[in-house]
Amino acid sequence: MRVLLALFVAGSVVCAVLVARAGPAPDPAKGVDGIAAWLNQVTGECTDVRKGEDFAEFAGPVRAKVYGPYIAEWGTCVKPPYERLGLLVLRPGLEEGWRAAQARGEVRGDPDLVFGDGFAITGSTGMEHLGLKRLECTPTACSLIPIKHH
Amino acid sequence: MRKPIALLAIAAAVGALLVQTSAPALAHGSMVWPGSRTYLCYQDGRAGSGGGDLQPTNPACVAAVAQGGKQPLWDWYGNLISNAAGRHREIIPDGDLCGPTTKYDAYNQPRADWPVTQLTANATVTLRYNAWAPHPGTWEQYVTKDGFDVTKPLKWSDLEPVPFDKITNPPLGNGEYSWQARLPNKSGRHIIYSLWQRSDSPEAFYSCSDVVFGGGVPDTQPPTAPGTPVASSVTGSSVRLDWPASSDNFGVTEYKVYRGDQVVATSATNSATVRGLSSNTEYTFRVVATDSAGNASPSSAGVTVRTGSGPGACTVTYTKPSTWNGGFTANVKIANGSSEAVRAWELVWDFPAGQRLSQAWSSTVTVADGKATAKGASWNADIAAGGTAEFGFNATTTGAVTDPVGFTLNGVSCAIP
Repeated sequence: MRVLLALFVAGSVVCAVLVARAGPAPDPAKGVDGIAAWLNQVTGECTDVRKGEDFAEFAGPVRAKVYGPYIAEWGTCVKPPYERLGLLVLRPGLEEGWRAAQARGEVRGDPDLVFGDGFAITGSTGMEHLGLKRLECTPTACSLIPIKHH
Repeated sequence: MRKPIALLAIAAAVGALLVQTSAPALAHGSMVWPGSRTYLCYQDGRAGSGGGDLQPTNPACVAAVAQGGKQPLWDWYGNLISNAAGRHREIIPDGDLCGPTTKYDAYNQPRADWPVTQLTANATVTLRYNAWAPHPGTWEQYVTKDGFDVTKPLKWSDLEPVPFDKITNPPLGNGEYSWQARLPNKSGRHIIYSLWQRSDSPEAFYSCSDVVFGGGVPDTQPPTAPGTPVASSVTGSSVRLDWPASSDNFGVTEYKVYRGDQVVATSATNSATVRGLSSNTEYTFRVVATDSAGNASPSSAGVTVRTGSGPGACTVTYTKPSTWNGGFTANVKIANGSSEAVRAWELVWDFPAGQRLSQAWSSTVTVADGKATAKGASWNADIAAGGTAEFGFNATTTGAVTDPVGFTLNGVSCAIP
């Protein structure tokens, strides 16, 4: 019984730490500003938000063609080491779009994004505690994989 | 009995959380000496834009940006495969060694005009590898075989079968791994292919460094220490630093600006702007110079700066959508990045002789003593927290006109993207 109680206490502490690290989720209705505000709230970074720039200039024509139809809004902010961290508000369907492009041989491997609920970010370092996930894809299926911190 | 079972279930769930170890953890890094394609193109892009953007001038870098966009250069340290687990030859096809993922595919282009680093065959040098997120692991450095043709796609069989250098957990300092290595006995144009396989994760990093091996005496003399940096254009999120240049027997190739042990900016000139800072916070910066052989100078003395607060977190974007012989149209966008509104804003910038204001809109602009002052109209006199204000003007010119290099909003310097 004492062992179980000790496990319970330890588990509660771990849960509390994990929840506290993840912080609140961004408000998708607030678009890029909502993602930036969330990142700023939980990391103290993500300043100098830029919007309205050409996504193809940022990502190149190949990835812009694949990602573009599923991006409702995008912008960047500064979050070291990223001088331009992409913040993407997503429409549904990116996973299927990536797999289709993979099957056509236009892209290979996994999408170079990390995903939250309704949004994605183009970098991952320094965001291991935010509850974001990677998407690992084959031409037939994709799986969301939590990002682990060491 | 029910209570212990419930506790057991909770404990088991917590245990499951604790042992969830299959997910990848992500790091970042790339070879900075001899510089990888992404790193040297990033440096080329920074120099070509004058800072703040990436406008490479090297033809291979230009072609890479046209194919892959600027993001792979902003993220020059992220050329990786998350789940490689040592299976490099199995999962990376010939032709894709330098950029094994779609994001970095442009850096596979078989061209002879990538930026190169001059090396001395058989010399003992210090290899340097950026470590934004340090992790244990093993680095292997391969060189291409004699007769390698850089204008053809790089294949695994182009590499010598054994790495000329291999190290596990090299020393870490000043934001970089660095270690001594003896260069191979080669001559002429080659690629040094670096693999970093982390030991705490299946993640692996890849970089191609274009090099030219020659003879001669190795350069072992480091540059002199840079002078003490001087801070200017301090905003709520950025600061410009200028410092007296170092000298070197062969020439300084790069300066690194450090905050503590972390590199926060790099520059090919004796000036850099550090961005991404928090407002109303004290920072100390120092500068180290390096030469083309990778020799690092002693550190400069530090300079301590406190970033601005409130309206200091502003950014001004100045564009000229239209120019003609004898005049131009300018649009100015002020972004208030602070958490407070800016009331009754006034934006001031240099307005040198040779320009004459002819018309302004969405603001009142006056020019006196070589300075222009713009004030908001009645409907945009305040800029909300996180908001923007935009205005424009036409000006006539005589002779060449350069864009403003500094703006102050209500007396506080603003960042320029």
